[in-house]
Amino acid sequence: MPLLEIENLHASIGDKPILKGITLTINPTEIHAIMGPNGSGKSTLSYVLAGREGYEVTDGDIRLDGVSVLDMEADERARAGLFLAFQYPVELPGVGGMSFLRGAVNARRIANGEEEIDHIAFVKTVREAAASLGIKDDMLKRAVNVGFSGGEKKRYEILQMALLEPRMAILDETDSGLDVDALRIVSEGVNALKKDDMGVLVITHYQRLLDYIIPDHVHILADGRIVKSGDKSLALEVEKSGYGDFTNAA
Amino acid sequence: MPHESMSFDHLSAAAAKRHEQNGWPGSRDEAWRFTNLNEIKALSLTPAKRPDSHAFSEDKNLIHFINGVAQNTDNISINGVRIAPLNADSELTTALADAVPHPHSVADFALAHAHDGMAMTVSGQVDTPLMFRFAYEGDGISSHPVVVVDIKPGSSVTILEEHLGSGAGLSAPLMLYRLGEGAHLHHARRLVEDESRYHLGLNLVQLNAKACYHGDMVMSGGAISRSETQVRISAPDAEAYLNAVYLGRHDQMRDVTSRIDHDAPDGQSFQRIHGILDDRAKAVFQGKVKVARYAQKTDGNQMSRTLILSRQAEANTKPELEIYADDVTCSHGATIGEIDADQLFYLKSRGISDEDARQLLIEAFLVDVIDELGDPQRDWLMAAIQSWIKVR
Amino acid sequence: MSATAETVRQVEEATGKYKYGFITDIEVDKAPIGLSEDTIRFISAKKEEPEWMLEWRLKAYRNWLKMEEPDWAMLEHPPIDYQDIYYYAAPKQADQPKSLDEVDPELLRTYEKLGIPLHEQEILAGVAVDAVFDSVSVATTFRAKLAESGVIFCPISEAIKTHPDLVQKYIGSVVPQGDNYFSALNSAVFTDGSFVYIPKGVRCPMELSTYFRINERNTGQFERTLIIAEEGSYVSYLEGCTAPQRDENQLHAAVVELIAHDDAEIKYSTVQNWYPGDETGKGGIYNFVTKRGACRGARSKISWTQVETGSAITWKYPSCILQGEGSVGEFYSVAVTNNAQQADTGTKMIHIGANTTSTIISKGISAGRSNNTYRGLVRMMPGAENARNFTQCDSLLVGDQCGAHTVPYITSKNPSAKVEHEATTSRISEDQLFYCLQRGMNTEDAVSLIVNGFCKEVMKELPMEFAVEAQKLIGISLEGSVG
Repeated sequence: MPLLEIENLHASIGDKPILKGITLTINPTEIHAIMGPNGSGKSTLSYVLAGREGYEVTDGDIRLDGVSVLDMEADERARAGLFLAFQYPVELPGVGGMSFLRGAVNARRIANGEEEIDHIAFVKTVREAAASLGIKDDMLKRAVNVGFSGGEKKRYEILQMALLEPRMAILDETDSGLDVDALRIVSEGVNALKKDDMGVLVITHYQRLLDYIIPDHVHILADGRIVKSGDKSLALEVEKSGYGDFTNAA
Repeated sequence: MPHESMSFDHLSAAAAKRHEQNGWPGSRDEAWRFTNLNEIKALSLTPAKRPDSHAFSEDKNLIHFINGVAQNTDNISINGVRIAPLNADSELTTALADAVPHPHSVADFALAHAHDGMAMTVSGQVDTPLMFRFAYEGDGISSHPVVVVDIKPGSSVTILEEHLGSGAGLSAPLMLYRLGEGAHLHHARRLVEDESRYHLGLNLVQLNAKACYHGDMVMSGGAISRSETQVRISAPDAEAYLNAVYLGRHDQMRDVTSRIDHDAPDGQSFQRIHGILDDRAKAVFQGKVKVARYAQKTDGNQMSRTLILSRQAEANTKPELEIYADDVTCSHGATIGEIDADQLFYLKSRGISDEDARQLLIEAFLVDVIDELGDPQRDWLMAAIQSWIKVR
Repeated sequence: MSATAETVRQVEEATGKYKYGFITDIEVDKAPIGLSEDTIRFISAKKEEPEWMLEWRLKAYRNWLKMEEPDWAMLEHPPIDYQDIYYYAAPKQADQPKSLDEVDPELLRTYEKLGIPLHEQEILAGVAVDAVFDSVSVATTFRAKLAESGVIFCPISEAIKTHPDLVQKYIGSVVPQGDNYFSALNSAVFTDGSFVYIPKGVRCPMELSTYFRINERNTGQFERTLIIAEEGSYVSYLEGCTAPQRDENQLHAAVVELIAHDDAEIKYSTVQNWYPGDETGKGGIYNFVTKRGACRGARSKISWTQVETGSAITWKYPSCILQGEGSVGEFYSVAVTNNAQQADTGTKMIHIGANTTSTIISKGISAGRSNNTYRGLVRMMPGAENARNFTQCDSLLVGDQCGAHTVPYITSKNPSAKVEHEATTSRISEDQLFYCLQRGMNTEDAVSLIVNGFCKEVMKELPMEFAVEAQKLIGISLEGSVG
């Protein structure tokens, strides 16, 4: 069964249509990349998938493991296994990192009928996962995203992904604001997590992230529609000749 | 003008006269424009009698005040702490007379009706935190504790002050904390009276050179609660930190008023006030920082944030700067709004339910103010916050 | 650096002191000194007003008698003797001039000296001017051209006669007579001011401008301005003010009312340069002004920009009532005080409608022994769903004998509304000053330069023609403030 099915998805902000009929199917273990110029609807797509308020789905459907998520709130979708790594992770002053991570993991476990995780075991798990992503202990003690550098925020997103073990991960411009080293660490993190049957949707403006997270399929988004799909060579084509050809086609 | 040596009875009589003349303020009085006292005026209050029985406590560091009168002061034996009736300490009585702004309706009311006050002197480093527990009771009864704490130069102490009790009466505490050169005071307060009570308090702080006052308050009780803090920095290099959390629900009124007078150079003041209002609650934070002409190199900073959780609640903020010295860095910021939608979405996208996410953000918003406190103040204040949140 | 060089040059050019302090020697027609119902009848008769206008004035006067002068502002002045003021003074001339050729040449020369030539061919292209001299409008330019697009721009005294329906409908509808002590006084004795009406869908083809001049001794100026922007229209209006240098204080109590209907926009800019008094605080204008705009229509917008450098006392809070859904209010202010000047100025933003937004940017500069207060109010009413306010309020102290104060009032009765307020107070940094001095500027020029930088966010809101004048004024106002 397909993991994520996006079918003829139309979405608007207020009266303004942004997504104008997107159809895309992602199977377990597949990595898909969506590329597109600024304003093509990339971030809107990630928010609509994650269920952010203020975006109205006017037509079409989104199904996770065959079940429509349109009537689910953002937290229900997350507990069903949908994970969004934010382009701009928001700061949560006063919200301690550990209690946040534990809260998120336990919410998922309770929803799945599992027991809450043991404190000590959890701290150990977090420390190990953090270490492999180059996240210092000190960062875990701080409030969520507060005072983090751009790179630190992105690593922290991947850490959450590791702990929440989603079915389907959406990476929204995860490469923006990262230097080469950070990019490598983050990508390794993603690739390491991919061992099971997780699906990944990488949303990016530039090709360079795709050197590290190698996609099975690449789609070009322009003016709210997928105008071309292909394999990873399509990304290289974009790199060489830009988006001009595709946006004209739209 | 400093007073000549003054007795408590004399001070009390002068205050009674002023209160008789001025009464309680109305909404045209700028300092009271947001807090309507009609309910309190309608109470027909009788001043609390001196209690017959003495309550005893095993704690060597706890002073119990019943309806304003200290009970077990003989029991306290801590090195460096001396306690006496205010009437027997003319120096501190005179200090109080000098410190009290007048006319001031709360101070005048408290002084007019108090039988006596408590004078406490602290010398040296007192490591055990002291606790003042003010218990009030009785419908139509007003209580007026008057306390002067004199912290000698170079001394330091932690004082936890708690106000609790029930009955549709008025608590009107008047406190003066006088810090000598280089003295330190950690002052944590919980205002957790029952919803039937009214609380109008005046907290005066005087800072000598290099003194440091750290005041933290959680206000969650009372039908109408007002806490006014006035800090006077009268010698160079002193520091004042005022952190406050106010919590209102139902038809409660919350009033946090502060005034910091920088009368000497190189002083610093930092204020952080966070409030949450639910149901039909109303609140005001009004804070004034005044920097006198010769108080150069003053650093004055104030931040107030209010979260409104209900459509019927009302938040008011009036942060005020009055500055007469040029080489200063003063600022204030104020925000009023609801829970941030981006933060809420972020938490929900991690699978946390709407209700839990809101709870988490509310707690974080409040904890932010007291997070850097050491123990025992932090846990003690946190408990008051959590018991308020739990009822939601 | 060219703009900077320009400022420096202009500051140098000005010989210091108040440049507009001269007196025009002209024969005048005056009401008897003092205020009574007779004075009001005199003014109304002089203006040949209809009966309803006189009645309206008398009602305001009777109301005023019962009111008390407000004392909440951080201002100190000796009591004003309202019986020692002339409430009407007008240059003598046979009839209302029909064209500029009929205007007394002495008056035209006065405005030329003030830098406001009234001859249309000499005026900066695209600005129509109404020149108000003491109690009367002496000339209004470009009226014919404006009439072509249906825009009415004339003295209010004339509009009362020619457009009584409009005046009657709107006057006092934004600032009610009894709103405050000075608005009641103005409603009783106002003498002239401008009336502007922009019809539906019209973008006013040029900037409109009124230039106020107080000339006569012991005379109060009580102008009244009314601007109505119909659906989808736009107008930019500028006002300037000067007065002679005199030892006595003179009273100026104006009322300005703006009404913006659906999708209309009014941009109102002021450069206030009334005589501020001398270094010792002698003389100067008492400026008590009520300015308020009503954003009645959906998506309407009212924007106030003010540069306040003059007056001994300024008491003024240009405000917006944001009633229409999605309406927008803006307040951009620079207030400079020096010597013994006192200013208590700010704004009120009352959010009534949903999705209304307001922005307040205030820059206060205090020098000498002056006191400068920002006083503002932001109120979110229960219906102000998703309304937004942002306030930034900065004060700069020049010297250690002055005061800078900030008194904001914020109230919210709607949880979805968001209010953000920031304020700072500081002085010119030694580093900035040293940097400029090291580049060869003298202290005064450096201060003027830095202060103008501090005010930039506000200055860029001014129409081009005014921005240069305003920048120059700030430099001049601060002269002598640094040793």
